[in-house]
Amino acid sequence: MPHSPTASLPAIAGAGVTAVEAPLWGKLVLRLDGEARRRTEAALHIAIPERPLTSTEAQVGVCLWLGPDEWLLVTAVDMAGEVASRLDAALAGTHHAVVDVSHRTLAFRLAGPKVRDALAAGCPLDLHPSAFPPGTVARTLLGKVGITLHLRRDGSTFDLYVDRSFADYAWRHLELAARELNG
Amino acid sequence: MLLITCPWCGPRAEIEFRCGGEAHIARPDPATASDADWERYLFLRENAKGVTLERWWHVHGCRRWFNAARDTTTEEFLAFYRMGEPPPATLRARLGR
Repeated sequence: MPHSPTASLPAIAGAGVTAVEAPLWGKLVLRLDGEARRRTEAALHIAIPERPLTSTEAQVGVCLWLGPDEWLLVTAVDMAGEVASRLDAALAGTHHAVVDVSHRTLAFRLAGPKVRDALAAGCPLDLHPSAFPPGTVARTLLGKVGITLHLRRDGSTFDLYVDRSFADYAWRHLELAARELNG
Repeated sequence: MLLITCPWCGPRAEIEFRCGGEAHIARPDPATASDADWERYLFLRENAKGVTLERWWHVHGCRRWFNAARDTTTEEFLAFYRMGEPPPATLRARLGR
């Protein structure tokens, strides 16, 4: 098992907001042009979201829009290698990049009635449901570190992806905000 | 704080961006460029008081570069447009080019 940077940090739990470090997931960064995107969709049976700041889900995993030709595919950790091999075969000859970053970032799963307040303590985005509906994904800042924020389809659970070496900072930032919100 | 509209992500806070200086500076052809051409390319900038065209980088968002027109006297953004696109026609009259 990889080292957990948050294992020794104070818990974030209470009536307002809770957070847990997610188990290690498989993560692939996909850089695809039009033809490579069509072939990826056919090979993995998943729609690659074209509209900015949106995400899609399929059996293979969750696909997050990161940029106009860039996506993050989140899978079960033991599937990442196999999915990458399938893509390498399907994308041969096209202009593309598939990079396994499973161990580069980790994820916190946040929930609770005051989860938006906890995030807003360090994040400049408008997180109101009217501006940040379920399925929305955005790369942004939490305090001084870059994060990828994904509101899952249930509309109440956030997955926050952060680079491993910044995880300690991000967790402590959230913990400080949650301390007030959890009373 | 400035609110900057990324052509891909929409309006975002200034802290997500970096300014990349003046836009539309074409690199001269090394085979034919004179010393004066290189001087213009490397060192000479408009430094306008008023409307200026700049490159901005959404470094803490989609990580894409784009262009913006900003009035340096009022900090008002007048237009945002993608890399490779010319400035909007409505701006060209105001810029006098």
